[in-house]
Amino acid sequence: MNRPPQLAEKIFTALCGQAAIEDLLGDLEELYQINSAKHGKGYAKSFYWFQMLRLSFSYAITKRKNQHKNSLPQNNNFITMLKSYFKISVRNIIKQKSFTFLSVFGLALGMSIALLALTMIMELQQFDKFHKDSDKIYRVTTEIAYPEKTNRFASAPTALTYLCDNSLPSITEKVHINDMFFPSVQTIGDPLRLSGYLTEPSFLDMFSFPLIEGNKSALSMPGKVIITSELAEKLFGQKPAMNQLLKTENWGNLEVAGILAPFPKNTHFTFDLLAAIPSKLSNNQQWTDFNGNFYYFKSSEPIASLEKEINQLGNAGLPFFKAQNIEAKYRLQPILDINPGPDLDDEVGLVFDKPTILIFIGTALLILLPSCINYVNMAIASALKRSKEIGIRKVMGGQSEQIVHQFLLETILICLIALGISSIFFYFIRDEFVAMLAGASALTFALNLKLVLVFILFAICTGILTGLVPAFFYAKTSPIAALRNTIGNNKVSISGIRKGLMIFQFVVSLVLMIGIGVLIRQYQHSLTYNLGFHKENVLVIPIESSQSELLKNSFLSNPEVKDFSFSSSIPGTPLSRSVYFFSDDKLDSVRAREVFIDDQFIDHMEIEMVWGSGELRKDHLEQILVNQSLMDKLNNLNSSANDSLLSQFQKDQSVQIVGVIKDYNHEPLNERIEPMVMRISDSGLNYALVSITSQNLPKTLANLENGWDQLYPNQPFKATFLDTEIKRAYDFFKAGIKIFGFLALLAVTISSLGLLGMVIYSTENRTKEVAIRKILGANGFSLLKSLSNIFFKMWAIALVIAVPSAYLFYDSVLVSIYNKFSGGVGFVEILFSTMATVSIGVLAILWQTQKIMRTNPVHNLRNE
Amino acid sequence: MKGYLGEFEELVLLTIAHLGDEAYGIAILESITARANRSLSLGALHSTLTRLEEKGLISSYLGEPTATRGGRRKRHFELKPKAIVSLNDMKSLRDELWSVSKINLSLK
Repeated sequence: MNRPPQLAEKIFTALCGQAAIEDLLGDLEELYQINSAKHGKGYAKSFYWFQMLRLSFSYAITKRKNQHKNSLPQNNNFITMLKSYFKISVRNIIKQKSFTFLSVFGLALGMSIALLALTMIMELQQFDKFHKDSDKIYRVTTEIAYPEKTNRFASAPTALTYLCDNSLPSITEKVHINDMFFPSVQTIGDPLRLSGYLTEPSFLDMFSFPLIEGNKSALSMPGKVIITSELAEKLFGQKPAMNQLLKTENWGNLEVAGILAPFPKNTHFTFDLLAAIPSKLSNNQQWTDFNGNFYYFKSSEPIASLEKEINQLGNAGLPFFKAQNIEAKYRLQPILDINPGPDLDDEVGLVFDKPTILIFIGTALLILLPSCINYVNMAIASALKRSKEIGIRKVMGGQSEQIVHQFLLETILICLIALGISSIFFYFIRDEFVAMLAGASALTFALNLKLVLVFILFAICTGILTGLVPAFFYAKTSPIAALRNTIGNNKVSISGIRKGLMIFQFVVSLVLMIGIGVLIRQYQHSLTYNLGFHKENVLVIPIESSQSELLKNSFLSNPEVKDFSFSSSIPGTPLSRSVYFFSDDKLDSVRAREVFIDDQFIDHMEIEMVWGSGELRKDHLEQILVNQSLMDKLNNLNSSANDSLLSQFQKDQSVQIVGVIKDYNHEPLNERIEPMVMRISDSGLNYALVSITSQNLPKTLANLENGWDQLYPNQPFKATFLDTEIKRAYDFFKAGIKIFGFLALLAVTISSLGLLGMVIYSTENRTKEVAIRKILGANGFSLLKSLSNIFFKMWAIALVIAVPSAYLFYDSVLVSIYNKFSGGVGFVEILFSTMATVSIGVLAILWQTQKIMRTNPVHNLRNE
Repeated sequence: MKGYLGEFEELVLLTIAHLGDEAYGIAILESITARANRSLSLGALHSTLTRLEEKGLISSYLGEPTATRGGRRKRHFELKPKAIVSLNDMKSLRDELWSVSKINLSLK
């Protein structure tokens, strides 16, 4: 058959693009046939070229191209097609039950953490928005350039802020805040430590914290405080709190002169109470020592010009900074940018800084990504089942973009179903998450319409991004290959990237599983470690400090009480008090943790002494005990003094060291052994420690309670065992085990689902091979070997990467948290965790391979 | 300028009328080339056909494929009533001008 020049035809088709030119091509060819009959082939060919070129640049083509652009072919029946895609998708989802289950479940797990992250980001956007004119409130932050680095502080020099008050006319409202206000209120047991702000009445004008009782003028009167409604309820219960006195250890008596209404928690301020700035602080205008001083103001001027003016005012302080070889610059921060915002030093309250949020989002993606990859793998794995459908679609004139649409819609549907299941997960993990995350109580994690819309949008985006790969995979297959069922058959092995992704998943699962083992071991280790004091059969009874004398007699008269002592803190739990020792010239000091004890404590707790006796007598000088760490430091400190046993305490008090205690873990194992001083006291004792010898524990407890009730009928008797209290100090392990457990569960489940998908993919592609092998006499074991070889290889690689890196990682983490008291990373734990993870994978492999091995080879071959 | 038709447009419309059911690209081209004895490119012809379609004078539909066209379909053209009105306007204008001519236009 005489054909016109193919190259010309191709060029013409390419030039016309999507325009409909069937009739024009026909005309050209007909003309060619006429000419070649009349004038010969050569003439006809060149004429064809000429006609083709004339036609290409004619108005006819321009018009047809425009027509195509303006009306996409599917526009006419878009809704109909959408309905059809939807129907086919639903049918496919129902038909492929195992595939749907694996992918929906995997995606739902993967999405759950992402939903948490989304909620958190959405809520952080709302932080501090409830204040009136919140977009006009700024905070002055200070950038200090040290020779080696630059730090940005949320606080600002007081000298500058008082300058701003007077010299910036555009500032309409302003407030100074000092956060060095930590009164501790006396109660039973440990005193209640509160945190508050020292500020001005304008605080309540600028920020929308409404008062239910009292007046904002309380913030200009010393000795008066305004408390939150939560604190009022905690301290006074249902009783009226107004005009009550708070007896504090460090701030004297404070009178409640106002109560704030409950306010939204989504603010960066965290405080229990507010008080006036003492005059000694407000007169003390400093440049370089500005920690804890914050300055907020309201202004309608643009931020850039305000910043410039403030920096000009700041020039007055330059000499002071220069003297310390540092430079200071000031920047304004709108309060809406605080959360989520940059990670500033000396923050006034609760801030979720951007790096932390990014890490959280990263974790969420790290969990979500594998589940998306699994979906892609499985969608392609099911090619064999879908190829007929694709082939017929293509033969009937389906365009590749229509096949892309079909698959995208299917993936979006799957993602939406997954979102539904994920919301159930979200509901359950939400509370756990709030309990784990510091400061999460400021986040409500409540669903609202906006959030639901964001969730749906998120699911659709996930669906589109995930669906693109399988969609284009199917769209580009040729209809012949699809109808012959040969899609993907040329690729029996799994590609390198997919192998890498699977190994990565295995590694993540292994590292997390080993992490659980390590945490459990460390927890056990912490509980059984010999802390250096006696902790068995010791009851801890919280008391008021004045009660010790009377209780002593009560305990002495009880025959089941073997021994007892008093202390200001429970041994084995964190300490909070500290004191300073000074050198003779008062230029140098050493900080030491402070514990008050009675004269029996050392003997009772069986604490080992290095030197001296544990007895403390009241002499003209106060007698104290120190531990070895403190003794070492004091030796360096007092080099000029004649007697190293005499020391200067704060307030020019001289003390005499009469004993040195061997270093022991008075605090939990995750704290270093700090310098510690033990002082004898009758007043600072908050706990009674009682050793009991008893065959009948409930009876002994009842006896003790009786004794207590006779003395203090109005106070409840709360006794716990010392080892229980110590155990409670390690509760953070339980949180850690929970977090790791949950992440590991997700990672292991998702990677197992992925593995299952891949095993299905590779075994389905090899059904014929397996059938032939079987007919030729292969036995079960050799079949299993050939089918699962590749997966075991991947597991082996994952093990080689994961085990050493997990060991090094956890070892360094434990060392940094636990100093020398870590239990180390145990090989038993590694072995156990690894076995658990690997066996899940092996089960997935065996389940699928035995399924294909059991089928009759005739069925597999007959399909051809 | 009501119903303005160019000379070539008029020629194409009349040719379509002449060809009737067989009015498609190559047939029109051949007919014009033969009758008017002028060389005509496919591009020029299709541009004019497109413009006529745009003006609403003709409509087109796809016919059956034939072997000489490599299995491709023909696009057939037919006149719309508006074209017939235009052609008549044109003709009556000419006839009027012929009849009022003061010079004898007869070649005999």
